[in-house]
Amino acid sequence: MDTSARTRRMRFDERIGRSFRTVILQPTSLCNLDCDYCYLPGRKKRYEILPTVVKAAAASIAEQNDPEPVGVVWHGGEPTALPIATFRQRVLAFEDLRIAGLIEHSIQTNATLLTEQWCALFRTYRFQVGVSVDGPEAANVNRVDRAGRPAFEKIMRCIGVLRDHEIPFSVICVVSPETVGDPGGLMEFFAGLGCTQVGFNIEELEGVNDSRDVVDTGLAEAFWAGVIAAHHRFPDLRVREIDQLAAYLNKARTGRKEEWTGVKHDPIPTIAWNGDLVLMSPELLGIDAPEHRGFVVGNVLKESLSAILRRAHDVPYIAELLDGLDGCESTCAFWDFCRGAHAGNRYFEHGSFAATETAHCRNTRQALVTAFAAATAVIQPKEK
Amino acid sequence: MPVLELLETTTATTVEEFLAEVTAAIPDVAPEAHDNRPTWDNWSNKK
Repeated sequence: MDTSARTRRMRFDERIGRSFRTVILQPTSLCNLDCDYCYLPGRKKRYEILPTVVKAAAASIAEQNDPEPVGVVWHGGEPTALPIATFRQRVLAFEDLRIAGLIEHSIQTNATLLTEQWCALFRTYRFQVGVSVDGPEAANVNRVDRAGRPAFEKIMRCIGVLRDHEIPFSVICVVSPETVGDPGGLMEFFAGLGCTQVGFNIEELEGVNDSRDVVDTGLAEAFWAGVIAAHHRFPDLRVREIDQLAAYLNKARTGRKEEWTGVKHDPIPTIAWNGDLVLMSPELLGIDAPEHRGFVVGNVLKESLSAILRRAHDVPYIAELLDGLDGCESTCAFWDFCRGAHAGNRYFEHGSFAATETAHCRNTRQALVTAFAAATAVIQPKEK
Repeated sequence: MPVLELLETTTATTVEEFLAEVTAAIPDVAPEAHDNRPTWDNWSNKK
């Protein structure tokens, strides 16, 4: 092995796992909605995941043979746009692994197509369910169907189906420039919705969503201050970002920071309907980037995930990402908590994985920490 | 001092109380991996 190859390998192994904790599957490229801020190209095309692809994914998980269960995340498109009988057939490819405790299923859905039958499937195969909804009706103006009609009524009706069947669910809420000013209203809505947890994704420019207004960082900081304040009113509503920060600070304040900082990045293999694989950022799937061969690093029909990961340090965009992670570590005061900007954000905002700070860094990581410090009087709140 | 470091070292009771309240409800385990993705739930840290 030449020196540069050895260096590439070592740099990768310092930052990124060769094994995976999560596998993202694209059961279908199709989505029945057409949300204004969606980053997914090709969401109007109907490609369905091939039976051979799910078998290959299952075989790769079996090959890794990790005692900790791997999360199999059914994402999309809209996963439930796949006919339920087909979906069940694809899920069955993992059934031996699930029964053996080697995988756990998750699904992220817009909920608009959920039925009693889907709830039965979720219960049978023990799915963790995540629903995408942006708050009360007025906050969902960007969530529309192909005809531009609001999806909110359908979303709420189908969340009702989940609740009727006592299926626990978490929520992803995209916070847009239109809703960033009402954190209390969002928290009140989600506390009443019956979800176990909410994660707030402040809207970013990603994929084909490349021209909408971005959220101002000052407003993002005020948003997190409002979420933290409302947390006292709704203590039973878990907020993903607050939980993450609290978990980090709890370790850092009790001499156990290494438990956080010593953990590597999940390579997050994301498998397209045809077996194509991207690493490090599911948002890269399907992106037209000929200079990076569309970010496709292999195909599970030809190679196992472990085999692809063994050579991942030779993938140019991942080598570039390692430069970016080095840059984050050497320049950012939030590094210990954050562990580096997301790969997709770097590329979509800066055109390079070697770039460092992104809007997500500013509006979610940094603004959250700063708002928390102000809320607890560790620093003076900024003048409004 | 950077704000993150301040939060890591402060003895302010406001911080202690808030963290106690939050961490009482979540398991105190090391994450299996950092999940470098912004657009959906952080499933691997849910345990």
